[in-house]
Order: sequence, then C-alpha cells, then structure tokens
Amino acid sequence: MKNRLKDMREAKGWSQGELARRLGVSRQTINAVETDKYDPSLPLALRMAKLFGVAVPELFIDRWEPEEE
Amino acid sequence: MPPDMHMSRWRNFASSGVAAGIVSLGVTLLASWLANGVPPRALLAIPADPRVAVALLASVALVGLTSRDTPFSWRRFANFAIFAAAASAFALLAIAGVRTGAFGAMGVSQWVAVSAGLVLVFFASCLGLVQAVARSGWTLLEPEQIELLRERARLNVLSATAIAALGLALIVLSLAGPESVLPPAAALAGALVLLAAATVPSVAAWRLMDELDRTLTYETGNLSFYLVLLLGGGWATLAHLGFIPAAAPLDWLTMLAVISFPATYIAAGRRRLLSK
Repeated sequence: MKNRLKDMREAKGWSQGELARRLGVSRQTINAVETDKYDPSLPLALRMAKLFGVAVPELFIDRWEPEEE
Repeated sequence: MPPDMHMSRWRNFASSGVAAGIVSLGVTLLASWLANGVPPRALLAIPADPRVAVALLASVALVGLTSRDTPFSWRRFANFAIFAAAASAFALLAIAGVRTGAFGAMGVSQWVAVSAGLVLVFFASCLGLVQAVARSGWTLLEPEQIELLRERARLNVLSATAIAALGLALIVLSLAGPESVLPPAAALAGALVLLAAATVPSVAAWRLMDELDRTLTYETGNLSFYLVLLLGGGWATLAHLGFIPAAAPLDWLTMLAVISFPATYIAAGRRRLLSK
C-alpha cells in the first residue's frame, strides 16, 4: 500500500532510526513500510498517525471505493 | 523501467557475476590443489570439466541475479571472497573428516544429516563473526550495515546460538547407530540438551522481535509446512508406490531441521526484502 511515511518523517527531520525508536520497532520495519514492502498492523498504523498528528487515511493511501448501491 | 536503470542493472549483473566467477574459480583451483594434490599444471584443465563449468556458470548467474540492484564495490567483493574462502575451508575440513572416518561409518542419510548440520553450524558461526566484526567497527562492512547489526546484536546472537545448537543436534543424532561413534543413549541425551539449547534462545529471540520479524516468522512457518508437504509428502508417495526407497527417520529429521531456511529466503524474497 502506498504511503506518505517518508515525506512526513523527513518533514519532521527524523532519520529512520529515530522514527523506529519513537515507535518501538526496528529500522528495518520503517524502511520496509516506506518502500511499500510491508503494510504495518493496525495498531502500528494508528501509532504512526498519532505521532504525525494526522488521520490514518492521510498517511496510507488506498484507492478503493465502495460500489454504489 | 527507465532505460538507464535497465542498463545499470545489467552492469551490476555483469560486474558482480564476473567477480563471483573469478572468486569461485580461484577457490575451486585452490581447493583442488590443497585437498587432492592436483599438480599446478593440471589445474588449468579443471574448469574445462563440464560439471565444474556448469557449477561456475551457476555461481556467476546466481550472484549476478541476486546483485543486480546493487552496484559493484571492492568492499562487497572482499566480503564475498572472504565468505567463499571460509565456506570452502569449512567444506574441505568436513570432507576430510568424512574421508578419514572421523565421523565413523556413514550411510547416505547420515552423510546428508552431518553435512546439513555442519552447514547450519557454519552459518551460525558466520552470523556470530559478522556480529563481532560490526562490534569492532571494521571497515569491511558498510556503515549502515554496522548500525543495523548493532541494533539487532542480541537478536542475532540468540538466533546464531539457536541455529548452531540445531545443527549440532543433527550431527549428534547422525553419529548414533550401529558402527557409529556414539551410543544411542548418549546421542539422545546430547540431542535433548542441544534442542533445549536451541529452544531457549529462540523463545528469547521471539520476545525481541518487532512486528515485521514476527510476520516473517509466521510466513516462514506457513511456507515450511507446505515445503514439507511437497518434499516429504512427495517422497512418501513415491516410496509408497515403490518407485524409490522410503525416507529414513534421519532423513525426516534433516528435512525438518533445515526446511525453515529456504522458507525464510522465500518469505523474505516474496516481500522484496532481499533487495535494497
């Protein structure tokens, strides 16, 4: 899933290691999320959104739309 | 893919492949000279042997393909050369051990189990060694690799301990039996101790893992089951129908001990985690 994690992290001036430390995960996990290799769990996505002060859909981009009735 | 990126991938493939070919050829000639006493003049005929040529080409292709996204560097070349030399030295020692009968009389199953166990011990030693190198800050590793290894030091040491214990357990079990060097009771006691020595660090490592590590572990377990189903089930099917001999208990133990390693690579590869 596409996401804006890298943009938001860089806007804060944080390194991947710094963000990983704040979220309590490994730097590898941050790198994997930023490069679309891994979609984080819902709790981690919520923590990321809370850390950047945005809603989850602003951080993770999903183009899916419900079918019209 | 843009044309310049396409070209750079080919350049990476060619440079890493040629480097792998040179190192593999050097190691093959050195091993032939040291292990079999092949005179220097006859060494030049070795690469012409079709089996050696195919193995060398496979090495070039494998390294080229796995390195196509990473530019060639002398540091990576040195790392690869050291790893190839260490693996060859380890393999030569193992072959010498088997030839001299240090492991007792061995059938095919025992030979395969001992080899698999030695490979596990070798990989665990490499992991421990790389960790020690990262700790020392030796310039053979990239700065970001050093940082990553330092972050995961405890996890890597625990994993290396578990892998080494599993490999040793396999070796101990394969050395038991008629005409072998270990009595069954001693082998059972040794294997139980070693399996405990593999389980305790595995549990401790699990606690240190984050969610990506745990997801990969789940996927590895899932894939391992299907690989056992495919390989073990296929073998059992063919044996039941009388096409091939049935697997020995030691063959099953070897399969169960090593199957998670290819599964790990497949799980990581499917998520493109093996490339930068």
